[in-house]
Amino acid sequence: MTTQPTIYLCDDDEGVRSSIAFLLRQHDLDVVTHASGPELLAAIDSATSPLRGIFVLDVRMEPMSGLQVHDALIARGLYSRMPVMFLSGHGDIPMAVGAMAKGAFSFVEKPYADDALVQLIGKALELEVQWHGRMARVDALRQLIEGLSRQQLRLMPMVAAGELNKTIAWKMELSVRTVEEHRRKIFDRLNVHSAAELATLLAEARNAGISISSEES
Amino acid sequence: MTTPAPAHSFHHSDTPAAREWSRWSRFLWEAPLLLSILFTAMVVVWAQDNDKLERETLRQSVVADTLSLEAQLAARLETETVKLRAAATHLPSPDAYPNHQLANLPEIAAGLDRRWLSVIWLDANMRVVAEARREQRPGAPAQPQAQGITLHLVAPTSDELGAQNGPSRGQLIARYDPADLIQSKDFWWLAAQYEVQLLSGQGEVIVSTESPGRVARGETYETPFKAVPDARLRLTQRARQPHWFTTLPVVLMVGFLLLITIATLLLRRQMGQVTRAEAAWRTEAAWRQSLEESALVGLRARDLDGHLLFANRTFCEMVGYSVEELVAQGPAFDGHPTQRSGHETRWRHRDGRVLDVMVFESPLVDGAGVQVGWMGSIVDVTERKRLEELERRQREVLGNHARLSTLGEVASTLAHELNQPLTSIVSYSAGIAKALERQPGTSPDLLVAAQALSRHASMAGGIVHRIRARLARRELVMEVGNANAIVTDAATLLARDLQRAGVTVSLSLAPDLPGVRMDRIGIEQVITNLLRNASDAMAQAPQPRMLLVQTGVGRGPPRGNREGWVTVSITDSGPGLSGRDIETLTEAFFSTKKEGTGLGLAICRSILESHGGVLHAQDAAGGGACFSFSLPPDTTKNEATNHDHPTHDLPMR
Repeated sequence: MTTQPTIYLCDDDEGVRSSIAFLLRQHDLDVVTHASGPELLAAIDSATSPLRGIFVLDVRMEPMSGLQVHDALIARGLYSRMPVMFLSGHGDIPMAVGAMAKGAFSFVEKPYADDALVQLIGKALELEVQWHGRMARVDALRQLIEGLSRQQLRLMPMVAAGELNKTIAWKMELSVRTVEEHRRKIFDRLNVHSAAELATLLAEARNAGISISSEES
Repeated sequence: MTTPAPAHSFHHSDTPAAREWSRWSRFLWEAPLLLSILFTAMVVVWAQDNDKLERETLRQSVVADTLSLEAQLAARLETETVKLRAAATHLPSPDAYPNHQLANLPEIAAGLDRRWLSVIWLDANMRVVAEARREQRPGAPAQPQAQGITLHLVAPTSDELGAQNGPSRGQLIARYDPADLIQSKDFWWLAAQYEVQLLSGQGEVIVSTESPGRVARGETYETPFKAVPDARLRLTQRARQPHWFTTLPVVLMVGFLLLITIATLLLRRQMGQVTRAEAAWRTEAAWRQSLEESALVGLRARDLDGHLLFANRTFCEMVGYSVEELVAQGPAFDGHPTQRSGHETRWRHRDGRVLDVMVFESPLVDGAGVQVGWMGSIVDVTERKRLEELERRQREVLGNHARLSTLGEVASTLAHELNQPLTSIVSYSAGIAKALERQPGTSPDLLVAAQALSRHASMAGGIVHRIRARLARRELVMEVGNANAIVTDAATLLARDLQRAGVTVSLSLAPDLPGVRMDRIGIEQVITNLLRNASDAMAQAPQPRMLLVQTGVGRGPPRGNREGWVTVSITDSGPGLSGRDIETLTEAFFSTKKEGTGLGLAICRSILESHGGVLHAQDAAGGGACFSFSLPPDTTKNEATNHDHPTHDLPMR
């Protein structure tokens, strides 16, 4: 993942769109502009590789408003990967409140001071990098967990709960030696060194929505 | 007037004394009748007594008359007997024609003419010698024969005639009718008054003066009639003594009693009507009194010259004088009374305040229908006027608000239109400045110009932004919040600016401040505005520049009397208000600042008024100005207190 994060700018006003694109490019930022929400969504849907970057959406657009585009992005599961910023010429409080409640990163009222937008975009990009890192980690974790055998998946929560090999062996109707072997393999694969580290990792995985279940094939 | 049931309570006969009096008066009302009855009874007793006495007298007179009659009759018979004797002594010899001789004897003839029916001469052997009858007398009155019963007088004859026949002597017997005796004209006075009866020893009536159709029933008396052996004389009063109760006085008395009774009854009925009428009148008077006293309308009556006759309590309270004072030398509140459909005027209360009153005059008419004055009803319209004034002001405020609102729309549209180009300009200029900065060998002038362009475009954007922030119409999001928190937030927000301006802010926040229902952003805007104003006002003032923000609970100003209003006051140490009041200060486009829009306080006020609150301004004790506002307490305690409107700190400013 060496791709430079991109700023996906969507504004129906050509002047604003190109001016912002010009400004951001002067800051060595990658900008992709779209004149409307559907255009943006179409571009996203047709992308072959996972996207990196942030969205900057104008609130008042036709035919889709910025908020509707935001909803569409949420529906595509992009909300936890790419921060969304809004540009507004009106600053409607309910709009802002609604958007923020849905996880928008920030809200910039037009016209803004020259450096305000760039600064906020910088912050959003930082966040994107964080998010991306986290997402990459979660993806790796998911791959590791998915690589475990069914028996190891059943055994793992017990290990994480700090149960003794003997107890686990008795519960699982396995030999203590087998349990010891599984524990070593899990620790190796997930690159942890103790049951406590394993517990932390599992909690993280659960928070990221990775299901840890032996039933799952 | 018909009086409803509660009217009884107005009746004054409930006190014991009044009851006593009522009983006494009732007795008085009975008294004439009772006295009349008593009087009548006495008259009756007297009549009875008198009657008894009269009867006694009558009886005595009957007795006396009877005895007298008996004596007279006896005397009369005695006389006849004497006369018969005399005749007997002069009897002729009984030779020839003894009858004729006897009849011609003068004494006998006289006797026959008088009373004797017949005279029989008997010899000693009881043989009839001669007989003389009245009928034989010429010119004898054709008197009817007695009804069978006759009495007789006996006289012995003289001796010389009968001597030869033995020792026994003859007899001369004169028959007479006792009726003739009794009915004699000599006793007419008696006959008129009495029925005279002669009774035999067995009680049979021998003779009576009784006349058909006249039955005597009166007082009677009997006495033995000595002239006739074994007979009795009875006198019975013809006119019966009337019963005592049929006497005239008694009848009159009874009539009198009857009349008195009727009169009393009539009087009583009349009195009853009068009493009822009086009670009704009293009730009505009481009603009127309470009506007058309770009326919210001032009532006053004046005579034709305008002198006060009467005023009710409301009137007195209205003008602050008592009725006595008003009647004595009351100030003339208005001129001569005339009938008008109501006019408005101004009066001065005793304490000097001026009242706006509405006066309605109508003619005051007495019982005879003559106008004696004017009745005026007065309505105090001061409060109404005040409300009207208030309403007018409210309307002005609303007008102001509407103007602001229109202005807000214009500004909003303008801002919207300017937004896009300004955004482009800002972005382009910032981009150019950045590009120039990065390009080596760029002329510094160019760079400065580009940067200036960017800065000015930003400033233009800022101005548009500010105007819109102030004027944009925004829906209020009402939620319960704490004024302390907002004050703290606002002060924190402005801390840097205030510090830069050399202002020391001190907060004095009341603990346990009740929640207030408000639009948080609106109120924050008000507080920020007031803080900025205070800071600006102190810009020219010497150090120390003090700013005191206080919160508290109290009464809602102005003129408020409702408890629990939350008040926030901001006191500065600036030059003060210089005599300007809140009305002037909140006038739209009024500003003391060179670059002020003159809208800040107007907007603050309209925000507060939309909360039901008030903005207030006065000179502070220490010389500065004190702006304060009060908000009504939250009355919707039961509602969910905190709406889930997250209050993110939006980059609006």
